[in-house]
Amino acid sequence: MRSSAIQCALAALTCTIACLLTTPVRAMEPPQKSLPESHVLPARDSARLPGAGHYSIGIFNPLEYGVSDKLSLVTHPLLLVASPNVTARVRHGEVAGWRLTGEYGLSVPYAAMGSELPLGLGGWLFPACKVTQHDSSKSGTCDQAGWVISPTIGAVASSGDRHVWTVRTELSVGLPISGDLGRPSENIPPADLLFAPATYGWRLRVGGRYDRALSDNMRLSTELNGYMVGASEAPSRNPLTVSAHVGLDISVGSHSRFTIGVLYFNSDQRNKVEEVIDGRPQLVPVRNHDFFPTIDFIWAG
Amino acid sequence: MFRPHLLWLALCLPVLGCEAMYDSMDFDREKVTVYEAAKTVDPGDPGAKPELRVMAWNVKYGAARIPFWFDCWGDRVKMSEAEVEANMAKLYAHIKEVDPDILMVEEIEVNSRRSAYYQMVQGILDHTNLNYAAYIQTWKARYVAADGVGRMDLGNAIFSRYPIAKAERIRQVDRTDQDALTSAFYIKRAIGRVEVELRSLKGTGGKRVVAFVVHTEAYDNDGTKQKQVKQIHEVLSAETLPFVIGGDFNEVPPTATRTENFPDERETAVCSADFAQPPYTPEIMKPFYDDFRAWVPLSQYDKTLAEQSRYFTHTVLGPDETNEKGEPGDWNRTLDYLFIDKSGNWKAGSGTVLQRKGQTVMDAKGAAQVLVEDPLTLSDHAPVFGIWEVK
Repeated sequence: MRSSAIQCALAALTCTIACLLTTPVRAMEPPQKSLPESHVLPARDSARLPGAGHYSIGIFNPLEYGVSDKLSLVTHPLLLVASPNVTARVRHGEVAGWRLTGEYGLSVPYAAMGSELPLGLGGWLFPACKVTQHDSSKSGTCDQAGWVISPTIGAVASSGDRHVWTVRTELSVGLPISGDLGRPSENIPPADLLFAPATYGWRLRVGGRYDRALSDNMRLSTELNGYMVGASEAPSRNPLTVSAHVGLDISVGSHSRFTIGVLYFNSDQRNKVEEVIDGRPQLVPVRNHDFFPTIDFIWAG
Repeated sequence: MFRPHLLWLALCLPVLGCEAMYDSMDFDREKVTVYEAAKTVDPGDPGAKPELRVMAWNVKYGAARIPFWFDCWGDRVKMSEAEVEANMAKLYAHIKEVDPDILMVEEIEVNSRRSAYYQMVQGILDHTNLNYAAYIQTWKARYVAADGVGRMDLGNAIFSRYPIAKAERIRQVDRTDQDALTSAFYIKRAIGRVEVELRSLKGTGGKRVVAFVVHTEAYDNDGTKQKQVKQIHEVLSAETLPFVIGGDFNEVPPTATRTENFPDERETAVCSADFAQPPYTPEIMKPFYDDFRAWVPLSQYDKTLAEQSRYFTHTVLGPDETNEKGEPGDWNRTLDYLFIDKSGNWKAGSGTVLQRKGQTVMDAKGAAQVLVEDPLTLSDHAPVFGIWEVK
């Protein structure tokens, strides 16, 4: 099951690359400036790149550094040791008023899934395998993930400066270099999705975002995403997760911002509730609704 | 059961979902759901002097002899659906060959990640001659962050061929030697109590008897188990109907020859101290032998280790595993019991521990029936069995 899922994911990855490379690009747009001319607080999570030498970093949001006007590099510093990761964002041009950016990433979540705190989540979300550490003859009982690399490819398109529409698609796959994929938590949606390529074999994201400037210093954003992940272990689980986010960004100083919001997930987390069917109480599956507050301070320069 | 850390706090506290992160089980005494077999089998009228075949079994959530991480002899955290189905099929076969009228089960799960979300209560109902079951949930958490255990819905259950007229659970005290976060996500012990009407499924009325199921604390260092056992004795002493109690008391009998240094304990520390066996306190079981009728009386349990071994009910290691000295696992202590109130009797010669294949159990006609299934491979506990002559 795992190998077929990986083959499927690789086929989808190939298709995405092919589509991206054959997308008609009208013309390369001129280099972007770090901020729009009107000094409006720029939209986040769009196809816009920060520009050469510019950066942004939050406590939870990733570090993005503009290598050039057409290329930026993104990494999550908090995960850098546990799951080394980097994403290259490449501006491909503009099509019918939509800026188009490709995203090409790679992460290696081995330590995050296999090591114990403070480096990873072994012993918490993943097995610590202490008996195997003591007695290697028990290694067959250890469910730890092997070395897995997780490449990601994505495309982001945005339209508008003051009021920005963004659409995004992204595919991540988990490729075991040694051992097996990890076993998914099937719970806590952000964590389950974060590790999905290395546990379910792949994760596909399709989403849209509208980011509206309420004033020069304040933006309101709404976002809707659908996530599909690879097949679960039996019994089967619905692989679709839907998330929505509403956020408010308030500028602090000339470049930085404070952001708050609410993140919603609708997902199958194996929850069941009791219902009377045909006169008998039975357990029936239900989807979960989860709300998470989001908060961050993002420096930019 | 798991260690607190700010990271987990950060993960769990922001969740404002429709499903709680854990069930604190804030009740003293409350009704529980009674499940029913998809197809019931009428046991008929038991007559004026009922004889009930009674069995109690800790089934280790259908894990058979798979070495789970907290036992410290392996690192398994989760079973596949195929593994659970195969293990449950053997459990069903064993229950069918013993053919109890009342079955008390501990460590049964209905929707836990580690047992592939298998509904074991309905499974037993649909694969045996038992018609009704009360599920006494004792551990419900959306995610137990200990080695990736995940979703947990575990409890005890009482199955009956005869109708269950009333089912409830009575809360037991919690451990006090855990931090608040660990305690929140930890198992909550409860006494299960059902009132069974001894009648044909089509009949009405019928004599009422009570069945209890218990599973007391295993790893506490603060006297929680002793308090729970004392509470069980108090509940039984206050019971006005004829009763039977079955379960895993996590305590050895008052005359147990061996109370420490069991062969399935590791000599070197490998796992967390959270799962170390605290010293046994056999004296707390004496009031049960004094005030109720044990399925195997102390006079039968005897005095030497070899004699007592016939009634051992637990071993962490299975027959295909060895300890650090290379000795294969075998039953090495008695933790599981059946008691009835003194208005009734155990049918002479019926009380036994179903330890292994080839052993005999008394059938419905009083003859010796040879066991085909091997309980030593089915769970880390052996079933206890007796025939209760209800007065």
